[in-house]
Amino acid sequence: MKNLMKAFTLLLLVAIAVPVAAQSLTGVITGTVKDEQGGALPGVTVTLEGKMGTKTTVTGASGTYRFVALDPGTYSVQTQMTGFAPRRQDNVVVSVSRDSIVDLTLKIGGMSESLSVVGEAPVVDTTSSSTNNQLSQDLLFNMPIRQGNTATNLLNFAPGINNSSAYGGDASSGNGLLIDGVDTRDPSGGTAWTFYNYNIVEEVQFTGIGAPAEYGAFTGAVVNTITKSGGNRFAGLFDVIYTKSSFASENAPADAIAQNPNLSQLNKINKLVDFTTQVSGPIIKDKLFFFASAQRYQNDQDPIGPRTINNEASDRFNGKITWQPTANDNIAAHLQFDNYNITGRAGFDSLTDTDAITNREDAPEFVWLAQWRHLFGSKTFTEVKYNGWWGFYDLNPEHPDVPYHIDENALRTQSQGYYYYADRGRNQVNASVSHYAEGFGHHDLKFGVEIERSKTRDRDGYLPNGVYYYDYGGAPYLAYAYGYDFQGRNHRESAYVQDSWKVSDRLTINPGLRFDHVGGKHPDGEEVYTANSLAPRLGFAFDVTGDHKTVIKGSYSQYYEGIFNDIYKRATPGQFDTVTYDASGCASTTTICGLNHLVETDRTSSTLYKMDPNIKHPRVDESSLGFERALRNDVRLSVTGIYRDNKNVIGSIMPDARWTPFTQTNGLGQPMTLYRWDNRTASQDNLVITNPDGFQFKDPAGNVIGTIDAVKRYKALMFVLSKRFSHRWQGQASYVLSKAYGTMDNNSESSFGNNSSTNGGGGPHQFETPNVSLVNANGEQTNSRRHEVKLMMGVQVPKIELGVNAYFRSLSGRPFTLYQQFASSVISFPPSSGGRRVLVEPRGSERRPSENVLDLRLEKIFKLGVGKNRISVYADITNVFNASAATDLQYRVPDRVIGTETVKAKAPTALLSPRQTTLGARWAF
Amino acid sequence: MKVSMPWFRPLAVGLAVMMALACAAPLATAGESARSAPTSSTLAERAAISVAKLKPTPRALMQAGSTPAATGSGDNRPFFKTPTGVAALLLMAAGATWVAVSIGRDNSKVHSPIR
Repeated sequence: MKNLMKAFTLLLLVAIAVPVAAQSLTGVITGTVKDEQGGALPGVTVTLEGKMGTKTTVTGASGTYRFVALDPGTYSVQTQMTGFAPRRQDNVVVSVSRDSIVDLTLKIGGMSESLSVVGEAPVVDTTSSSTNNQLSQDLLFNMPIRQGNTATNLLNFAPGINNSSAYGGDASSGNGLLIDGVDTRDPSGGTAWTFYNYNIVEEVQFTGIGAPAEYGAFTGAVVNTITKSGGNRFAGLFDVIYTKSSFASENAPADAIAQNPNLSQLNKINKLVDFTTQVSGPIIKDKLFFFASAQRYQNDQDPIGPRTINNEASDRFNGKITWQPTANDNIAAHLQFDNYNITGRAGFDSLTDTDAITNREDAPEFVWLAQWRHLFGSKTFTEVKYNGWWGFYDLNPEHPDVPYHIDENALRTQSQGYYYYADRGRNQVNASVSHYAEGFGHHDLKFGVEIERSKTRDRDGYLPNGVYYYDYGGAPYLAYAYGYDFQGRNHRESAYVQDSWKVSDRLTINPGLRFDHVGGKHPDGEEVYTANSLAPRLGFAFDVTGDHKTVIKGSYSQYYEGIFNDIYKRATPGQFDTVTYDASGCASTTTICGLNHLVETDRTSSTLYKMDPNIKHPRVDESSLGFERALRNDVRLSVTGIYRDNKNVIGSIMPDARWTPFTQTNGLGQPMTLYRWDNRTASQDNLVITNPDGFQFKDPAGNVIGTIDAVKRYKALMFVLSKRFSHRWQGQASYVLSKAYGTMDNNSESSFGNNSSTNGGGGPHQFETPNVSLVNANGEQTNSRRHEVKLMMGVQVPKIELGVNAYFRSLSGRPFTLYQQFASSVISFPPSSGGRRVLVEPRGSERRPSENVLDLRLEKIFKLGVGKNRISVYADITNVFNASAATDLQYRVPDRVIGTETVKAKAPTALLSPRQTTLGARWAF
Repeated sequence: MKVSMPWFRPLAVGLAVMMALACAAPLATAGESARSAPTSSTLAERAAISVAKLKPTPRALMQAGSTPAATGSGDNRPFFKTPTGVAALLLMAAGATWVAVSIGRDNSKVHSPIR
């Protein structure tokens, strides 16, 4: 009861004292009012009408007007001037960081005349040099795109982004995942942590090509998710979706099962129920608004492999209040609670784990945001945002009282054994001032600062008594103790200045400069990592035809990555000694064996890595050139060329290690040159985290045998044709021709020290050994889709009120490379098995099958009166053609035993999900 | 590092209460604000009234969300006294209650012993 009272008191403080929420980034409507002869009209009253009320301004001497700091949404612009008929333009769309230009021509007439302008604001921003893509509320609401985790899944609908790798960047970790303008990534490894309900999203903005200086801490893309707010109009959404296993097809072809019998037990949804209840509206008209949402997500699966249970549940609440105490102030606060958990989560390998080898995930979180926006007249405004989140992520073995045991056949039995506890907290304050100035043209200046503080803790070990048992090597049977308790404190202080300088009516120059100071340490120690970065941005936009419909734009930008604990973790204490025991004294290793029966035979103390004091923070340099044209008022065509080059890759090296080349026949029967670590004892304790580019590997005589050339590059040509919703249909078609290539991969975290070892990347040891960083290293990266076609189209069929919405994607299969894990006796690299995984062919030599997938939504709409009030029932059919392309293969040679089956190299280990029908119903008003 | 926050789950229940209050607040105030006659004295208010008198285009009406005034019911009653409002309130309360109840049930399966 005491806890409940404490909670309730805190809640009331949140509800009453803390100002509440709106979008943290805003857009602008600007334009010029002229008479029919083209003369500028000063003194015209211009009124803007949006969901939170109206704003009014008066045109200046040149007939121009401007509404700044507008929340994304749809607005109407209205003029009023004695002697002229009023004019009104509806459906002016405002998106974050965009200028919507609405020029109006007034005709002579009476004030009482009502003249509406049918038309829409231009779809091309002729002042921005960034290439911007949005998922509008129309697309989010209607497309069959609600699959998987919201933050990362939505990312993959944008052109140039697949498998969460944006424009060749690190998958997942390279992307800034912003909610209402503030990054919410995991401060440990940069991946998504905060999940949320699709139905709370107002708009999703993707940026990263020519992004202005206010965007930082990313090397891929920025996904800025704007959440809904209340307005003067009461709105509601009640949505439920349901599917089960009988609504799914089988798609594993016989030849795939023949290659990998494990595929006969593909993942099936036993039951999925996802409902949302949501209401928003005014508390006090024009002043105070609320938004409230509750979601229950339950997905019970019969997962791939021998497991029978994998149940995921999420209970989410979102509450948001927006307060406009004066015409110049907007205060907002948003709070989310997500009670997320999983039972039956695979402990090691989803293909082979049984129900016993699973864990239970307990992962709740709170996300909070407070924002204040104040206008100092029509030229200056400030925004202050405070965002944070707290959560933990615990994996407890299904059978915590039973030890983890590897039997003589290398099969895991009894229990997952290990636990993993992750604690996270992240707080960030962003403040900015925007000012519109005149002088040598028009200036849209913005200054801002950002302060981030985050903390991490990762604990790992074995239950029930700290060891696991290993019988695979035969007698004497062994037991091992392994674990860690790492803690980190990250900080980032950033400042930026940017301008959008309209040199003339047609030419805009967009310069910017961003400074980031980042660092990290153990909470009880000194700072071990620090870096200062200065990132210039320079872009231009030229309005070719002068009518705001055609623009040529270009940019040069540097983007520095965020600060993550994984960059410096190994330079902080926390790794426990790895101890080997002779377990021969145990009566049985399938039950708990008292430590008094274990005899210690070996102990490896962990070695702290040193940090290069001159280390530089990872970044990507980008050049882009683009062309955009409004084909009609609601259709936009854009063509963009992009080139990206990653710099300052971080990794660990062993400066004193010496290597002897030798020839080894690999699993393909081919001879290849490998390197044996000759002076392990003398060199293994000198470990350095640095920028390894240029590091030279040497033989025992000191001769250079190879140099690390850390290359990650991307080039692309992107075509996008989009039509926003009008005349009952909308659509977007895109084609991207691209290549991501280099001497390292672009998996998660590869830019700062953890290149996935499952593809022969070496894990955190990738640059410690020439076998990983030199041998066959150069080529095409895993997340390189040469050809990418994405089509989205939605039609509202009149009379029968049927919505037909389709999403089709055709993607080149991802490249892959066969690798072989050599024994430590061959190449003498005991620190990790990942460091012994050597590519046996040039990187990206082969490619998985292409993926052609059509998802469809059919929705029958029943309109209730006028406006938006409607009930509908719908069916989402994903993978309509039941395509079965392999999305993952067995990359390891020679052939490998998985479970009880021998799986040959290149055999499929995962396929596209089969056709699945999901039924839904919703009431929206 | 503090790793235990035993009050977070009750806080979630409290959040549900907050949302119920958020729903109840408009119920209590919407009628009053709807009946309040605006007093026009400023340029902005006069312009707003003028704009409100203008007839929007049919297309504008068709566009979702472009007209802020509509409540969907078309009558002058407070929103939460209209059939739409009552139904929304009941569904919201039922949904939020179900989610709140589910929190305890889901956590009983996965509750981490160290928390």
